[in-house]
Amino acid sequence: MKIIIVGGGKVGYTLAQQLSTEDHDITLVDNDANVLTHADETLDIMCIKGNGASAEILRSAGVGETDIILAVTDSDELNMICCVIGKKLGAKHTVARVRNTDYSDEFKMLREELELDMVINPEMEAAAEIAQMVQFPSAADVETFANNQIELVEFRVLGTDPIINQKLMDLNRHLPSRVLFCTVMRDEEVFIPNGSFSFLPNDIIQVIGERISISRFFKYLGRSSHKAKNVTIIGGSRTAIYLTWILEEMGLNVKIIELNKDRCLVLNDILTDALIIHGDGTDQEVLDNENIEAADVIVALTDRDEENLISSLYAHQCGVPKVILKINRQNYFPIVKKLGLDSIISPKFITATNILRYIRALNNTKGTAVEKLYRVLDNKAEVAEFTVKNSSDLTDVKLQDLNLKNDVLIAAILRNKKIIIPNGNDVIKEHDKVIVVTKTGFIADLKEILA
Amino acid sequence: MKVKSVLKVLGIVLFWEAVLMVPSLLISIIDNSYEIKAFVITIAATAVTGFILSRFEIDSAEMRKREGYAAVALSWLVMSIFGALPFYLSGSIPSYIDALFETVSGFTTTGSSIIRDVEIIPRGLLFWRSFTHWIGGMGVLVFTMALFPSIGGRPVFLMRAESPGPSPGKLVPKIGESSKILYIIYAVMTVIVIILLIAAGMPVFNSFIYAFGTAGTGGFSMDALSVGAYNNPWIDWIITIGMFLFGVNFTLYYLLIKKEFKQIFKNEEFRLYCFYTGLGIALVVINVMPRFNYDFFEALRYSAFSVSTLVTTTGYATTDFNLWPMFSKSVLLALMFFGACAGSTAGGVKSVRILVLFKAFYYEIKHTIHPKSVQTIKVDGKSLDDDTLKSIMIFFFAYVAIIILSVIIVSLDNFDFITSFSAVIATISNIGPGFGIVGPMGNFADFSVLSKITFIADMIIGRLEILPVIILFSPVIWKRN
Repeated sequence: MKIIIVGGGKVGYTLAQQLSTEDHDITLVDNDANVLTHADETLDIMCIKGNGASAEILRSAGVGETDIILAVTDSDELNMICCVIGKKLGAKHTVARVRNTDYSDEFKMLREELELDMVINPEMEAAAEIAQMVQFPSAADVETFANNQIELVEFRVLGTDPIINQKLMDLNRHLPSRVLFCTVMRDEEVFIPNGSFSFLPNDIIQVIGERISISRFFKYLGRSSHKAKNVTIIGGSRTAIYLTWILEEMGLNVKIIELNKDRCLVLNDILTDALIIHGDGTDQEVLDNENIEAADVIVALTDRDEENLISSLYAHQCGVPKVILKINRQNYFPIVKKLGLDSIISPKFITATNILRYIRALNNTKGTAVEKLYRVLDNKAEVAEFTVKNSSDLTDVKLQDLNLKNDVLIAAILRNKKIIIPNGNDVIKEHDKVIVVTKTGFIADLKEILA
Repeated sequence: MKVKSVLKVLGIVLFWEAVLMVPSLLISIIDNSYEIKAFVITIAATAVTGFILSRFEIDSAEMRKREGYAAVALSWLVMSIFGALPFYLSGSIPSYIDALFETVSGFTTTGSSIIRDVEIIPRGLLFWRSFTHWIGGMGVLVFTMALFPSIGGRPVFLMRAESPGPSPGKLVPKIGESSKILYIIYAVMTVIVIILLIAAGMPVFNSFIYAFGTAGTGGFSMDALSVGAYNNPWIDWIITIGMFLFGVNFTLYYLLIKKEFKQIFKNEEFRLYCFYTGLGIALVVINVMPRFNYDFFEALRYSAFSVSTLVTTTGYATTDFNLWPMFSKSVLLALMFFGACAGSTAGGVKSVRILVLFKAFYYEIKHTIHPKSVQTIKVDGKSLDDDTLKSIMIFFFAYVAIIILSVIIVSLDNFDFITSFSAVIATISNIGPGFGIVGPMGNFADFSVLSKITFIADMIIGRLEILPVIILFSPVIWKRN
C-alpha cells in the first residue's frame, strides 16, 4: 500500500520503520530537516520536507494515489486539517492522532464531520491498556483475540508456583483447564516450548486460552485473583485523567499524587471523586504517608521515565502486588524488566501498534492475511490472528500431519464462536479464525507457516 | 569501520561483474578467438572471489555512511582490477597498468584509450570494453540494488555515493524500486538507439558498441576514426541527439512517464543544460563555418556532434576538432568542464552545480550592495539548505584542486600545456579525448606509468564525485574505533 506519514516524531518514525519492512511504500512528511535526514538514512522510504497540511506538499507526496494518510504530528489541529485536505485530494483512508482532553468526547463527531477513518488518542489508549492490566493483577500483560473471547496472558514464574520443574507433557495432565503455553522468555532468549520443556523460576511465560480457563489456571497457581480495589496513580498526566475515568467507572478507588500544585487544582476540577494528593511521588516519605503498602495497584505516570522507575521500585519493594509504570524510551525496557517490573506502558508504542493493527486490517482483503498482530516479549515473538477465507493446503489436514516451520505454533482456533485449543488431531477449516505464535519474524499470510 | 559490511558489498558486486562478463565470453566463443581462455579464467576468479566475500554475515544496521561510501569506492577499484584481466591475460594489452587504465576508462565512462590500433582488437574484448561503459553509466551498485534491494540495511548511502549530483533523490519510496525504474528507462533508451543505428545502416555488432558508448556517455569506439568512419549524417544525428538525451537527469524521464510535463520545463538545471549546449553549438558554427568552407548543415552537423559529445562527456568524434580554431576549442573546453545534468550518465561538474555556483555568486554581489538583505538561493523554487550549498562549494574547490595537482604530476612527462591540461580535464570529467596529443584522433599511450596512474585515479574520483574515494583512502576510518 502507499502510505503518507505526516510527522516524523517517535510515533511517525516507529510506524515508518515497521511499515517499510512490511513492504509498503512510505512517504514521510515533516518540517524538520534533521528528522528527515535521520529517517532517510536509516529507512527505505521517501522523505519530503514541508508542512503536511499544505495541499502542494501533499500533492508532491502523491496523495492522489495514497491509500492511507497517518497524521501523527504533535499538533492535534494540524493532524485534523492534514487528514481533511488529504481526503479531499484523493487519499482513501485517514488516521489522525488527537490527544487533547478537550476533544476526547468529540471523537465520534470528528470521525463523521471530518471524515476521519480513525482517531487515535495515545493517552487514552494507554489508559485503556493500563485498566486491562489492573483488572488482571496477576499477569504482566494481557492481549485479547477473537472479540475478547481468547486471552493471551503474560506472567512471571515464581519459585512457589506448582508448575516449575516438571516436564510440560506431565504438567498438562495436572492442569485444571485447557490452556496452551505459547512462548517462554528465559535470559533474553525466547523459546516455543515443546513437551519436554520445563519451567524455571523467573521465566516469563505467555499462556493462551479462554477467559475462564485462564482464570482457573491462575487459581491453580495460587495467585490472588481477587479484584483490585485501591489504585494509586503517581503523576497527574493526561493518561492519569483518562485512567481515573475508566477505573472509577469500574468502581475502584483512585488516589493521584501530583507534584505541581496548579495541576492538582486542575485535576480536582476534572476528577471530582478521586483523591488528589499534592506531593512528590518519588519521595518515600510521601508514599509512606499515603500508606502505599495498602494499595492494590500503583501506576507511575509522570513524564519522566526515571521518576517512574524510582517510585515503582519503591512500591515493588514495599510489596505492592501490582506495579505498572510508563516508560517512554524503549531502550529502557530490558533494564526495567530485569529489575522485576514487568508491567510497562509506552503510549507512543501503543499508538504505533494500534495504527499498525488498523493498517493490517485494511490490507487484509485477500486470502488469509493477518488480522491482528502483537509483538510480544521485547519484539522477539509475534502472535497473529488470521481468518481462513478459502480452503488451501492447510485446511482439513490434521495439525500433526502439517509440515510446519520450526518455531511456529498454532495456539488457538475459533470456529462458530467455539474456541478450540488445538492438539495434533484438530484440523483447520474454512472460515476459522486461527491464532499463530511465531518467532521467525513477520508473517503476512497464513500459508507462510508451512515449511 | 565495519570491514565485513564493506567486503560483503564488494563480494556481491564482483559476483555480478562475473555474470556481466558472460555475453563477451559468448561473442569470443562465436568468433572462436584467442581471448576465450582469458575470459574463462577471469570469470571464474571474479565469481569465486565475489561468492566468498558475499558469504559474510552482517548486521544490517552496520551499513552507515562511511561504510557505504568506502564500499562504493572500493567496489569500483576492485571491479576495475578484475575487469582488466581479460585484456591483460589475452595479451591484447601487454602492460597491466595499460589494461587497468582501459578498464577504468570504461567503467567510469571516460573513453580515453591507450590502444593505438583499436581495429586489431578481437570482438569479444571490444564488446567487454564498451559494455563496461553501459554498466558504469548508471552504476553497478544501482544495478545490484535493482536486483537485490536488501544488499544492506541502509543502501541509500550506496546509491548516494554512486549516483552523480549533489543530492541524488529517489523516484519512489523504495530504493530497489527506484533503481529498477532507472535501469528500465536506461535499457529502453539504449535499445532504441541500437535499433535506430541499425536502421541508419550501421552493422549490428557496431550498433551495439556505439549504443553502449552513447548510453553510458562513454566514448569507446571500434574504429580509428570513431563515428567519423561511417561518414553518415543519419548516424551522426542519432548519436548527437542520443548523447544529449543521456545527459539529461533521468528523473525527468520518470516525470515524462508520469505526464508531468510542466515540471520538466520548469526544471532549471535542464534549462541551463539546453541553454549552454545551444549556445555552444551556435558559437562553434559561426566560428568554424567560414574557415572550413562547410555549408550550414555540414557545419551544424559537425559542431552539434562535437558540442554534444564533449558537454555530455562522451568523447566520440566525427571530425578532428583538434584542428579547429582556438575560439572553438576554448568553448569546447569550457563545456567539457561544465558537463551535463546530475542524475544522468554523464560526468563533469554537472549543470546543477554550475547553476548553484552562479546563483551564489549573484547573491553575494547583491548581499554586498544590500548588506542587511536576507535571502536564500533557490533552485526550482525551493530554497537550498546550507549544507547542500556548502557541499557544492567544497566539491568545486576539491575538483579544481585535484585538477591542478594532476596537471603538475602529468607535466613531468613534458608534453605541451594544452595536452597536459586537457588530458586531466578529459579524465576527471570522464570525457575521453582532449586536445593536442590526446585529441580525438590521438590516444593516451605515450604517457608515463605515473601519469597513467594519475589518470586512473582522476577517472574514478571524477565518476564517484570525489568524496567516496577520499573516504576510502582516509586512514582514520580504517581504525577500529
